[in-house]
Amino acid sequence: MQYLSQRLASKPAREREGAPPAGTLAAQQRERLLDAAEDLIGERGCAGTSIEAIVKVAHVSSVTFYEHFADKEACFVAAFDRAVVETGVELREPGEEGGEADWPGRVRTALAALVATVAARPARARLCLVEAPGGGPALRVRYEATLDVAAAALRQGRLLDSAPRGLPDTVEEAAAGGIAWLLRQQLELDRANEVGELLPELTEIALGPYLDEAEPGARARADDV
Amino acid sequence: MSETPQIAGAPASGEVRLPPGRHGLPRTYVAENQRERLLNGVVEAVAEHGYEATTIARIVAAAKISRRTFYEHFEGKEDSFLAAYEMIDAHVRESMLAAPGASEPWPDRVRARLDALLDVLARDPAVARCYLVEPPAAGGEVAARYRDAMQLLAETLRPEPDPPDRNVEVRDQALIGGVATLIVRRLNAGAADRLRELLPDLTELVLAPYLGRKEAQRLAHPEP
Repeated sequence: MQYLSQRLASKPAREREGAPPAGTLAAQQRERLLDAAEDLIGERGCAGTSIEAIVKVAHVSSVTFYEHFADKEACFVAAFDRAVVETGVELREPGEEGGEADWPGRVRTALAALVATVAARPARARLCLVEAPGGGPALRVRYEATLDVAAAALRQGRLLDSAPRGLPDTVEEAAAGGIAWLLRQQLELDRANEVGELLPELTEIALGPYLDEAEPGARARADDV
Repeated sequence: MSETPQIAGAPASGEVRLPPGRHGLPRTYVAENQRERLLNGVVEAVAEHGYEATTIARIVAAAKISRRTFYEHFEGKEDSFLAAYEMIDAHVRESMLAAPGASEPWPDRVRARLDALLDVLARDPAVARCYLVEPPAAGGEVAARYRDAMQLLAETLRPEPDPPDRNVEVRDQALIGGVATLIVRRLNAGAADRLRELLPDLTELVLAPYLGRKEAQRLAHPEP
C-alpha cells in the first residue's frame, strides 16, 4: 500500500543514501523533522506520534517527509542515531584528555555528561531510554547495539590492577542495563531534573565490579574517584 | 476437557446435575472459562504482534471468542492486558517464593529464586515477553504496573533484614535492571531455551554488592 504523499515524493528516501550535505535546505528540513520527532516522542511516545504530527511541528509537507524517510520507524531510528552520536561526542572528549591511568575518573566524567544530557534533554532521553528498548524491531536493535558499545567501554575496567579474576562475561551488559534502567525510571517518574543525584550510584554500578572488595565497605571508594 | 480448571463455584465434575442450559455448565464457569481463554488470547496476540500492534480483533481471533464476549469481560486492550499481567506476575512471584531452599540462608535462597524465575520464563517465551519485554513501552497503567512488579521482584532478592544502606532502593533497581536486561536481550534474540544458563551470572550479580566478589563467585558456582 502506498500513500499519495509517498507517490509524490520525487526522489527516493534520502536516508538510504545517508544524510544530505550540511547547510543545504534538505539538511535543515531533515534536522527539523528529527527535532519534531524527538519532541513528540518525548511527549507522547512512539506509538502516539504520527507522521502527520511530525510534519506539522516541523513545518514541512508530508511529501518532504517521504523524501527523507521511508516511513515513521525510519525517522525514529534516524532520531535515535543522531541522539546517540551527539551524546557520544560528549562522552568521548574527556577520555582523550585523561589517559589510561585515570580510567575510573573518565568513567565518572562520562557518566556525569550522560546524566547532564538526560537532565537537559528529557525528550531525547525518553526516545533513547524509554521508547527505543520497546519500540519497533529496528529501534530495539539500535538500542541493544548501543548497550553493547557502552558495555565494551566499561570492559576496559578488567585491565585495572584491582579487577578480580573470573568476572562473568555478562558483568558489563548487566551494568549498562542497570544504568539505563535507573535513568529510564527517573524519566518515567518525571524526575529527569533530579537524575544528577544518582551519579554516585551510577558510578558504583559501573566501577564496582573492578574494585577490590576484600573487606565490606570497600564499595564506598567508588564514590571517591 | 480433561483438564478443566477448578473454578470456584463450579461443582466437581462428578456432582454435575442435569445441565441448566445447553452448555451443560454453570453460568459462572462458562464466564470464567471465557475470561481465561481471552486472557490466553491476549498473551498469544501480544507475544506475536507486540503490545502496540495488538488489536481486539487479534485477541479474539487468538482466543476464538466473539468480540461481543470480549467486551462483556473487559473494557478494552489495556484492561485485558492488565488482567493477564496480574496473573503472570502472581504466578512468577509465587514460583520464586515457593522455590526449594526458601528456608535456606539468603544466598541459597537468591539462587533458588532466580532459578525459579528463569525456569518460568524459559518454559513459556510468550508469557516471558508479556511479563518483561512488552510492558515498558506500553506506557500508562501498563508501564506503571510493570514498575511495581519489578520492585516486588527486586524485594524477593533483597537480604533480610533490609541492609542498613542509605539507598537500598536504588541498588534494588540497578540489580533488577541488570537482571531484566540480560533476560530481555536473550528473549529478543529468540534464545529463551538458553535462559537458564544465566543462573550463575545472575546469582553473582545479585550477591556481589552485599557479599563481595569472591564470596559471590563461590556461592554462584556451588560444588556439584
